[in-house]
Amino acid sequence: MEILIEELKTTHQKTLQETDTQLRFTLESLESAVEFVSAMSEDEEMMFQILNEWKDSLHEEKRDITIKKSQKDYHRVLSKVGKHLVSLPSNEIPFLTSKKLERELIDQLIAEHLYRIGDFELADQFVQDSGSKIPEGFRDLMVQMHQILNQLDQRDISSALNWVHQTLQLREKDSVKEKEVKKKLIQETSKNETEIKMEKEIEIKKEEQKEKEIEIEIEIEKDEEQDEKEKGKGKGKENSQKNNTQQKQIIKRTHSFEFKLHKAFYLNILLKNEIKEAIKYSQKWFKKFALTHMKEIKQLAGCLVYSNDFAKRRFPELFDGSVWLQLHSEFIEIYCLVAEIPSHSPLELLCQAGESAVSVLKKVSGLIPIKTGDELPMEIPVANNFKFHSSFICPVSKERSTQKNPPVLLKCGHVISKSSMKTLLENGKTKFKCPYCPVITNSQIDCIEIKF
Amino acid sequence: MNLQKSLIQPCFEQLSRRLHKQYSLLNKTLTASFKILYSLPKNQNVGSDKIVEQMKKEIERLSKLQKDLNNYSKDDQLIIKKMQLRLQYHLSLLQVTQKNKTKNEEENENQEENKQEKDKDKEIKKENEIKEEKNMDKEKDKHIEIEKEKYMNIEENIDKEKKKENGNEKEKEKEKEQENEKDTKFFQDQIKLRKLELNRKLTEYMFRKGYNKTGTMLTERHQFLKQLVDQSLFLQGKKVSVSLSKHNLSIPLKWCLINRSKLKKIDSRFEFQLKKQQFIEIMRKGNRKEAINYARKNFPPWVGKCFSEIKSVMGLLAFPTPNEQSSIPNEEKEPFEILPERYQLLYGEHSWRKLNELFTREHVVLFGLSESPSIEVEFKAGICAVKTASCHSLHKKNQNNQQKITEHGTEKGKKMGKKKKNKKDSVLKGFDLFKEKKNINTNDNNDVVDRNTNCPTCHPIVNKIAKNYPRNLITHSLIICPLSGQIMTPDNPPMIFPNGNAYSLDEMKKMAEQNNGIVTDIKTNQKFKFTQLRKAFIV
Repeated sequence: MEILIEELKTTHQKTLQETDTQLRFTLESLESAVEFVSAMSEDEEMMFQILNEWKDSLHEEKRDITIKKSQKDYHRVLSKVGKHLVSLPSNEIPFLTSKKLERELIDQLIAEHLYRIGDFELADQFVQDSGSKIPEGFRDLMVQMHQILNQLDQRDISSALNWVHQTLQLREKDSVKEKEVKKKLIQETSKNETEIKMEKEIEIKKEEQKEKEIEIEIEIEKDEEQDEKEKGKGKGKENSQKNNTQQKQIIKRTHSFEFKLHKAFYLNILLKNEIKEAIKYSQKWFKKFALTHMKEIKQLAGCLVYSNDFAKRRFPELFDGSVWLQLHSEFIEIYCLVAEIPSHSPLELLCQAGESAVSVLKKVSGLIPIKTGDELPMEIPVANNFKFHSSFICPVSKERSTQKNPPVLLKCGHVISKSSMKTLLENGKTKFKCPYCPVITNSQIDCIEIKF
Repeated sequence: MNLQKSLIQPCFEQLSRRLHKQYSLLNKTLTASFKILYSLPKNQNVGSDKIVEQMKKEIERLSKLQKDLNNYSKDDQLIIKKMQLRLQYHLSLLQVTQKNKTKNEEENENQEENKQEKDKDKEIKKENEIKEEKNMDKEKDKHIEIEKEKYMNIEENIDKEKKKENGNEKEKEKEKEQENEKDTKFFQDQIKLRKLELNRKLTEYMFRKGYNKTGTMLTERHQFLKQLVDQSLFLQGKKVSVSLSKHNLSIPLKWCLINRSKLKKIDSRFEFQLKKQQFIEIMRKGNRKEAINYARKNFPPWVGKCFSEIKSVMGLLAFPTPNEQSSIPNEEKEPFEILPERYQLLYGEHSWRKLNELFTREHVVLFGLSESPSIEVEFKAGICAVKTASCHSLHKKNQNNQQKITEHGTEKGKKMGKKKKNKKDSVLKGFDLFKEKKNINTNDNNDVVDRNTNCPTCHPIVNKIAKNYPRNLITHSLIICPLSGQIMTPDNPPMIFPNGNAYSLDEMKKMAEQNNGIVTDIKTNQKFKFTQLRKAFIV
C-alpha cells in the first residue's frame, strides 16, 4: 500500500510538471505569435503567412493531446489505489452496530470520561451539544480532584493535605456512628414490629417522597438481612462489618498517603539544601507515622547526613522526581476509592480492551452467529489488568463454578467442582482418590466448599 | 487492517473527485481554445487587431488554466501527504497491537518455561522489527523519515503540552528496569499513540453526531487530529441532512444524482426512498393524478428490488388524504384516523427521520467509513471481552422484590429510613446506584454476582448496555484476593478458611504477623489461627 501511494505521489508530480511545461510552451509560442502579428499588422500577407506557419507548428506539436495523455498516468495509479481499497474487507461487525437505546448512555459515558481527563471546557461544551446528563456532584468531584492534582504537579501539598484531613475526620466519625447504629439494631430487633411501625410512620412520610429509591435499596438489604437472620446467617451484620472494614482500609491508605505527601515535600526541601528547615518539617509531621513507617523515616533522616550529590547517587529513586509522579497516580486512586467511583474511566479501559477484541470478533462473527446474552464461542485474549472478578474453572469438567456447583477443596489441596466430585463417588461411597495425586479424600469430612 | 480502509478511502475519494473536476476543466478549456486557435487565420477579411485580440484572449484563458491547475495540484499534494501520514499512523498502531497480542498470550498461559522461550522470541521479533523499520526507512524519502521520527519521538512535539504523560512514562520506565532502552522508548510511544487514537475516535464521534463545536475544540487541542479526521466530509453531509429535516427534497435528490454510480455499487435504495417520500408529499396535497404520473415515471426502475414497498405506497391512493374530508356521512372520526396505522406512519414524521438516518449511513459508507462510529464498536467489543457472569447485577429476582415492596407500601422502608441516614449523606446522590447492591446476590443462573467498583462493566451505565452483549469465554481459573485485589498465583496461592472463604497467602501472612498468628475473616469477622488455614492448588 505504501508503495502505491508513493507511486501516486510521483506520478502526480510528473503530470503536474508535464502539463505545466506544455502549457508554458504553448503560451510562449502564442505570445511570440502575437508579437509577430502585431508587428506585422500592416503587411497582411506576411501576417497570414506567419499565422499559418504558426498554426502548422501547433498542429505538429499537438500539445493539447500530450497534456491529456499525461493526466492518464496519474489517473491509472489512482484507480489502482482505488481497487486496492475496495478489495480490503469492510469494517462492519453485524452484532455490534449502534442501537438507539444505547446512544444516550454512550453520550453519558463520554461526558464522564471528558470530566475525568480534566478538560472542563471541552466537557461542558460536550454536555451542551449533546444534552446528556451526568450524575449530580460528579463534576464537582472531578473539579476538586484536578485542582489538587494541579497543585501537586507544582509540588504544593497544601490542598492535598486538607483533603486528607477532611476525609480522615469524616471516616473516623462514620466508624463511630456505625458502632452506635449496631447497638441500636440489636436493641430494636428486640422490640415488636408494630411498635416500630407506629414510631417511624410519621417521621418517614416526609422523607418518603424524596428518597424512595434509597428506601427500596435498603429494603432489599433489610429483607435479605431478616431472611438470613431467620436462617441464622446474619449477613446484615456482614454488610455493616464489610463497610466497617472498608472504612478501616480507607483510613489506612489515606494515612500512608499522607505520609508520602510529607515525604515528598521533605525531599523537596532537601534538594534545596535547606537542612534546618528539613529537620523542622520532619519534627513537625513525622511523629504520627512513627509506628507505621519507621523504616522509611530512618532512610529519610539518613539523607540529612549525605551531601546532595551523594544522596542522589545513593537513593536515585527519591531525588529524581518520580516520587511526585507516584503521588499523582496514587492520589487519583485514593480519591476515587473514597468517593466510591472507579479509578479509571470505564470508556478508556473498555476501548483499550476492545482494540484486540474487534479483530477476533470480526473473524468469528463471519463463521458462527453470536447470540447476545450468552457466552462467546471463543476466548478473546485479554490482559490481566482487565480482570476484576474471580472465576473458577473445574480442571476435570471444564465448567465454570456457580453457587449450585461450588468448588470443593480436597484433602491434598487440589480443587475440583462439586459435580465432578459426585461423579468420582461411586454407589454411595464416601471416599475417593483425587484426580491429580494419590491422596484419598473423605467427601464428608475432609472437603470444604470454597466461596471465591 | 481494520483502520486502513476507513482512514485512507476518504482521502482517495476526495482525490478522485478532484481529478474528475480537474480533468473536465482541462478538457473543456483546451479543446475550446485550441479550436479557436486552429480556426484563427481563416478569413483574410478579418482585421489583424481582432486576431490579436482573440489570441490575447486565448493567452488569458490558458494562463488561467495553468494557475487553476497549479492550485488544484497543491491541494492534491496536501491530500496525498495526509494519506501517507495516516498510513504511517495506522502502521505504528498495528505494531502496538501486535506487541500487545503477544503480551496477552503470554499472560494467559502463565508458565515460566514458555515465558523464557517467548522472551527470546520477543527479542528476535524486536530485532526483526527494527530491521524492517530500517529497511523501510531506506526505501522511502527523507520527508517520510522525518515523519516517522515524529511518531517515534513524539516527545519533541508534544512535550510542553503534556507533562503528565511524560511523568507516566518515566514512572513506567522505573517500574520495569529489566526491559531494554528500546523497549521503554517504544512504551512511551505506545501511551501517546493510544491517547491520540482515543482522541481521534472521540472527534470522529463528535462530528458524526453533529456536535461540531466540541469536535473543533478537540482538533485544536491535539496536534495530528486535523489530519486524521475528515471534518469536511461530515460537514458536507450536514447540508443534506439539514434540508431533510426541513422536509426539502431537492438537495438530497441532487446529491443522489451526483453519486449515483457509487450508490449503485453499494446497492443502496436511498434514491428510491427519496422518490417514495416525494410521492407521499404529492399525495398529502391531494393531487392523485400528479402522484400517479410521478409514480409512472420514477418507480419502474426500482420494481426489481423494492416491489413490496411500491405496493404499500401505492395503497395510499385508496385512502383519503389528510386534507380531504371523509365521504362517509355521520363519521365522527377524522378522515385521517380511518387509515390503518402503517399508512398513518407514512404520512408522519417517522418516515422523514428514517430518511435522515439512512442518509447518514449511506453517506458515510460511500467514503469507506463504517456505519457506526468506531468508538462504539470498540467499546462494545471491549464489553464482550471484559464482561463476566459476576458483573451482571440486574436480574429477575431483584425486580420481583421491588414489585413486592411497592405493593406492601413502604412500611419496612420506614424502619430503615432513620437508620441509614449515613448513606443519605453520601457525596454523590446520583451514584447511589453504585451502592445499590453491595450484597452478594445471585443471578438467574445462580452465579455469584459480586460488584467491583473498578470493573468497568459493573459501572451502572455500562451495565445497562452490557445486558445485550455476550460475555467472554473463560478457559483458565482466575482468583482475585478480596483484600489486596491481586491475582493469586502459584507463589501466592489462596488460603482457605474452615468456613470456605479464601484469601491470598501474602495477606494472611501479614495479618498473622501483626496479630500473633490469628487471622480474621473479613466477611464473617470470625477469628482463626493461621495454622488452621489450608492451601489450595489451583490448576
